[in-house]
Amino acid sequence: MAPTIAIDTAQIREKALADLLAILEGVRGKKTLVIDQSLSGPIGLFAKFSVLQDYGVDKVHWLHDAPGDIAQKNILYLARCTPKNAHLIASQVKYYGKIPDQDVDCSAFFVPRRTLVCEKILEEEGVVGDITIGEYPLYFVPLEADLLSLELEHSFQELYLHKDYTSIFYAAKALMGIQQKHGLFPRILGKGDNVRRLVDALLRMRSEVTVDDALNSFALTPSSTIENLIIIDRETDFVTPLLTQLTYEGLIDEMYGIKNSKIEIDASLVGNPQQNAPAGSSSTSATSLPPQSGKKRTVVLDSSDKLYEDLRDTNFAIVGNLLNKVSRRLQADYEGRHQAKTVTEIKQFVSKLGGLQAEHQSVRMHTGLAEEIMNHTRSDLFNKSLEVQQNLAAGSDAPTQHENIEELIYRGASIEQVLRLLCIESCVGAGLRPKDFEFFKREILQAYGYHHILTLDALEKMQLLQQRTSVQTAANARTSYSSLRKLLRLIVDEVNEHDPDDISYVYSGYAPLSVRLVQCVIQKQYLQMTAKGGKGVGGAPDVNVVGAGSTGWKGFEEALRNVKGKTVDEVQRGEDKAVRARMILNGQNEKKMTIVFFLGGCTYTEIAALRFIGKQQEGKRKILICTTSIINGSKMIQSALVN
Amino acid sequence: LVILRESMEQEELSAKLEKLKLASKVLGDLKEHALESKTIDESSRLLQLQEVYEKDLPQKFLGLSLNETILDLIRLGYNSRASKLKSEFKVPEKRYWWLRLRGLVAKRDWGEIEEW
Repeated sequence: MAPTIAIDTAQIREKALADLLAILEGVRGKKTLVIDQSLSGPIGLFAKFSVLQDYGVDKVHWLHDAPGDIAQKNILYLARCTPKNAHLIASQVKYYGKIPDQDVDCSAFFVPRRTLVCEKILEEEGVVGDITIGEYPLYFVPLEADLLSLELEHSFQELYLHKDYTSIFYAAKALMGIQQKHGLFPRILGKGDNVRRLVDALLRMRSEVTVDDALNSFALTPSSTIENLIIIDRETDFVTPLLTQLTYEGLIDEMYGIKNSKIEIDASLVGNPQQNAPAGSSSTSATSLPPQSGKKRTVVLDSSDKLYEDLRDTNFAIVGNLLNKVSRRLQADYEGRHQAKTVTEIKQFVSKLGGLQAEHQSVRMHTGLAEEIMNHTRSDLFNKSLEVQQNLAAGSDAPTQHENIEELIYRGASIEQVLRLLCIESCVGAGLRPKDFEFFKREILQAYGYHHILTLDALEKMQLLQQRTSVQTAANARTSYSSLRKLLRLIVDEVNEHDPDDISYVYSGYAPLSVRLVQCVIQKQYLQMTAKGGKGVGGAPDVNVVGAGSTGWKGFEEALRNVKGKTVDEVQRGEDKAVRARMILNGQNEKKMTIVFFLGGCTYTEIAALRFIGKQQEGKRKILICTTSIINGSKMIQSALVN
Repeated sequence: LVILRESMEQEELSAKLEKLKLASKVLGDLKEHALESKTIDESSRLLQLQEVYEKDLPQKFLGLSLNETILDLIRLGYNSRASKLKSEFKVPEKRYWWLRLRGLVAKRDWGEIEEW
C-alpha cells in the first residue's frame, strides 16, 4: 500500500472509468449499450461517448425504450438494481430471444451491485440462462474536486417517506471504500437516527474486513491524513433545504434544476454552440446523450469554467457586479490589441485570443442566466414567498404570515412553493395549530385538486408538515429551532454579501443549521464567539482544535440536545504500532482532512457554506463534501407529490 | 388511502366515483381522518358537477381543482354557476374575490372590475 497523501477525487473518477471500460472489454466485439436513464448523467460525467466508441460501443439505447432493432449481436445492459429495471431487462431479453435467425448475446450489469431480488426476478422470468449477470460498483461520482455524490436521485424519498435504507447501505459501502484506501476515519461524528444506522453498518463492515483478512490489519488502521468524518442526517435539518437558496448556483438549481452538474437552458442564452469549451476541461460534455429537442441546450456547470467557479458560491446580490467587472476586464483585454505595435506583441495577443473568446462565451452565458434569474427574483410571487420564509426562519409570529401564504395560493403560486412555506412553518414551529392546519389543508385541496390528500399524507409521514397536537414533546424527537436560533446563532442580522464574514451570507441572513453543526466540530471557538453575540471575527484562528480524537462535539452538548435524533461519536483505534508506522510514512505536518457526509442529500448553498469555511481554514484543513444526492426544497416536496 | 390511489387510476368516471365513496367511508370510520373523508366527499361532488359542465359548456372541466373550475367559469362568463359553486363548497369570500379578479383580468373585462 503506497502512502496516499489525501483523497483524490480524480482517482475515484479514473477508477470508475476503468471499471466501466473493463466491463465493456469483457464483452467481445461490437455491442449495443442499453442504459438506465438515471445512470446516463453520472456516467456521462466521466466517460465520453467517443471513449465508449473506442471500446466497441456502437449505439446507446435507453432501457425504458421499447426494444428496437438491434444491429449488433452483443447487448449490454447497465442499470440500477431495482425490480422495475430487472423486469424491463427480462422482457427485452425475451423479445430478442423470439426473433428468428438472430443470435443475441445479452449481459446485464447492475449498479452498484447485484441483489437477490433482481436475480430472483430474472429467474422467475426464465431468462437467467440467456444472460450473463455482473455488477458495476459505481458508488461515489465526483462532481468537483471537493464534492462527491452518490447521485442517488431518490434517496431522499426512500429514506424519509418509504423508510427504505438501501441508500444508507450504499453510503456505507462507499465510505468503506475510502477507508480501505486511506485508513480508518479516526473519529466519526454524526447527528441523526439514520447516521446511527450508517455508522453501525460501517463498523460492521470493518469487522468483516478484519476477520476476512486478519493478517493485513495495516490496511485498516486509523488514517493520518483524515481527521474525522462528520455525518449529518438530513432529518436533523429540514428547514435549510426548504428555504430558497440565494447563491448563484443555488438559484440556478431552484430555477432550472441542476442534474449531474448539467442544466438545460434555452439555446438563445448560450449563444453560439460552445465548441471550444474551456480548455483543459478534464471532464465532460454531454455527448453520450442523443441531442435533446432542438431548442434546449445542455450546459455543463463545473469548475472547468473559471468564471463559474468564482460566481457559483457567491450571494446572487453581487453576481451582477462581478459579471460587470469581468466583462470590463475582457473589454480592456480586447482593447489591448491597439497597443500591440510590434509583431511579437501582436503574436502574443493572438495567442491569448482563444482564451479570451472562451471567456467571452462564458460571460455571455452567465450574463444571460443572471438576467433570467433576476427577472424571476424580481417577481412579486418570489419576493412574497421569500419574505415569508425569512420571517418564519427568524421566528416571527407564524400566524401573521398566514395572510401572505393565503394570498400566494389565491394568486396561483405553484403547489411546491406553497407547501414549502407551510413545511417551513411546521418544522420551525413544532407543527401548525390544528385550526390553521385544517384551514390550509382545505385551501390546498380546493386549489390544487383533491388528489393532494395523498401528498399531504406523505408530507405528514415525512414529518415535514404536522399538526401541533400530534407532535410529542419527547426529547430529541424533533429539532427545536427556537432554542437553536440562539445557541448557534442561526440568524445573523448584518450580512455582508459582498465580503462575507459568516456562512449566513448564503441565505442572506440565515446560517444553515447543518453547516453550523459541522462548525461545532471544526470551528469551535469561532462559533462560540458568534453565539455569545460578540462580533464574529472572520476566520478567527481556533487554536484549541487539536488533532484527531480529542475534540468531538465537546462544548456544544446543549445545542445538540435540541437537534433531532441520536448523537454519534465513535473513535476508531488501531494497533499503536501500525498507527505510528503510518504516521512516519505520511509525515505529521500535513493538512488534515475533514469529510462531511450528508445523508439524504444536501443543497448547493450548504456546499457553498462549507467551501467558505474551508477557505477560512485554509492551510490547516481540507473539507471534502460527500452526499447521497443534491437536493433542494422543490425536490423535497416533489418526492411527496402525486400527479 | 390505498383505495384512493386506486381511484386516481380509474379512467372511467363512474368507477372513480364508486371508489371515492368507498374511501370516504373507510376514512370516515376513523376519527382522525374525518377531514379527509369530508374532502373526498367533496371531490366526488365536484367531479359530478364538472361532468355536467362539460356537457353544457365547450371546455374541459374534469380533473380541474375547485379553484380552477371557478376561475374558468368566471373567465368564460358563467358568473351564476361560479357563485353557485362558491356557496356549495363554502368558499371563503376572500378567495372568491381573488379568483374573480383573476378570472376577469384573464377575460379583459375591465368594466366589470370597475363596477365591483
